[in-house]
Amino acid sequence: MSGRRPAADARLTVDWTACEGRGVCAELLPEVLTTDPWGYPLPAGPGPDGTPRPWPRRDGLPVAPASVADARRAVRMCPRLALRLEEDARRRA
Amino acid sequence: MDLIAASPLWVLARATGVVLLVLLTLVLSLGVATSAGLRLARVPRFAVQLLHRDAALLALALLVVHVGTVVADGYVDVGPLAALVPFTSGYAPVWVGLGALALDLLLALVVTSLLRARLGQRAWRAVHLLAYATWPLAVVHGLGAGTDGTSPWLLGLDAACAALLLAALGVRTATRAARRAEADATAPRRPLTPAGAPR
Repeated sequence: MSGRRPAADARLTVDWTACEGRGVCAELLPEVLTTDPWGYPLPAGPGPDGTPRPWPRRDGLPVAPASVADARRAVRMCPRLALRLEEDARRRA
Repeated sequence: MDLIAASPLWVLARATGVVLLVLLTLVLSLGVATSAGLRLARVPRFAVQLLHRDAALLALALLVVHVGTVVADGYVDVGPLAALVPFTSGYAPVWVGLGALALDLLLALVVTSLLRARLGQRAWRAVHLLAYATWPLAVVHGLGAGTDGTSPWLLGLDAACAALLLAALGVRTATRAARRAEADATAPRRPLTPAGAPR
């Protein structure tokens, strides 16, 4: 399974038409995600001006290698299958 | 004690049937809680979801014991095929058949859930709604096929299980109604900015 090895570059994307804001992903990935008042995922941590950071517009949200295993689990457990993790380890090798 | 000495397999078959009644009720109630995105007290949603999954897998394992002991014991005429193919049993074909149907449905539920990411959400959900048919089938099977089916203590347990399930369904309905009311109340007053914009 190529998906098992640590990814050099992992990015999280959300299918916003499928997402219902259940908040399971933010529970499993507190170091990557938080939720807005309606339960929809947002990047964790405040932005430069102290307000919540917006979701990256194109490439998805970078996930640190230490969090990749948790991110895979969050993808698996999303009740709406709305979460996706893109891992680009192969392209760099 | 004499009874256990006489037929330990039969006793085990009955016991697993009773435990399965409780376990399947828990599985369905936890599933209802999962579908509402409910947290149980302080238990986070993902934990409710994992409990639902693990309880379902445990139920399937117990079901193997339940069916295996009935078939192996030979006290009643239920062949290995009759446990899987509905209404082919020599003993109580209708009641055992309902159990076989429940077993087939549970198998479908577990297999499609393990393959959910490959199947896609829509197909998985269409199959998963069969859970609401599986539970009544299993309960009616227990009423008719079991030798304890109509004893007061088992009827009491049936009632308690039904009450738990109804409570879970009630909480889900109430939660959804409350969320809709909140969304209706807050939507017009909030500006249409991206989620998480400063408020």
